[in-house]
Amino acid sequence: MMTQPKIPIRLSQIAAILYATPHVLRSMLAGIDEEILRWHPNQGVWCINETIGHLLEADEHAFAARIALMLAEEYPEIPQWNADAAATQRQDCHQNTFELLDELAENRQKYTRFISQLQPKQLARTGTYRHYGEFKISDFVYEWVYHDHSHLKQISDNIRTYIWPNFTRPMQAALSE
Amino acid sequence: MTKDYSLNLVQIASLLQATPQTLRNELSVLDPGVLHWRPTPEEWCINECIGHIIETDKNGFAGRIQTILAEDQPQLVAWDIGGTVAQRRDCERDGFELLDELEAQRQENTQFITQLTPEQLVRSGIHPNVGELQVIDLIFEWIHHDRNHVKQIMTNIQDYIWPDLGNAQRFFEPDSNPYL
Repeated sequence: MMTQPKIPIRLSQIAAILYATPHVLRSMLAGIDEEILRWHPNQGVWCINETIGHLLEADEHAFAARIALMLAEEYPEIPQWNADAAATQRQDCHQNTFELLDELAENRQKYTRFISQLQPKQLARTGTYRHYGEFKISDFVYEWVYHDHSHLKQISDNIRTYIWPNFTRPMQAALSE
Repeated sequence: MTKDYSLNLVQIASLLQATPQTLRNELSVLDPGVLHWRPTPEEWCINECIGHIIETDKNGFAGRIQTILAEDQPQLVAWDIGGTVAQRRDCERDGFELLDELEAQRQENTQFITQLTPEQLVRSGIHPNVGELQVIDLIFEWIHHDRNHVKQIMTNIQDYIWPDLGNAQRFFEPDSNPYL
């Protein structure tokens, strides 16, 4: 089988993918019992609500604020952000999931407008972050999409893990292969 | 249901019905090129993943459940997953036509599932690799299987944009935690 040649993803498409995430989550979680949304696969592992809360916080601290700083200053040092501490502080487990998704959708409208207006010169602006070194604004823009999909996968996994005890031992063994 | 399960049949049906709409919301913003793209020559493109879900609905789940309901502890037959995918040639097709097909099929299948009685759920067949399988095992596996392939599709999208991450690729190295 041959792989198709890749067409580069345009900025407008990046914005559209980010805009879609709250809608993808809304359909993924439609009709799901609240217990699953608040359920932790393990101690210290986020429930689905906390994962959505993390997307809200990351939008602001890991992406939009960093990009804004790199636009405003010459080669800034990007400040650290502690995602686990932010999740603990938010206490999202007992929040209403669909209110969290409304908030995410509203923020995404604002952020995707901002992203789609970035000029090539702006995308090439740089800053440094801890020992990771130099970053371009475009690195963070594309990471934003990647990061969304990591957490969409995490939410899918939470649902899979929730139903796992329903399987018989031979079935669990077969599915683990 | 006779045993204590973590979801009832209506909840199971909701989860299965959610899959085509989730994929539609995700894929409607992507260039068709992303849907046809294979991360490596051996891996499935997104369209092939959807085609596989369609075929598994027929051969792996609904079909097997029908067989178990119609016969007493039947021998379930293995089916050629790779051969079926190759035969369908879904990479060349329109991803949204595939989603239409999946959606229509799911509507029918979820209606079928919600009408199953407790006696039907514990009927069983013999799977060549797993051994005895009850109808309810297949139904839970259906949800699990969907989520596996939703994850696979998300991974294809991540792989597609990976080269554009630049230095942010370092955030995803083993033992890296950029958020501390």
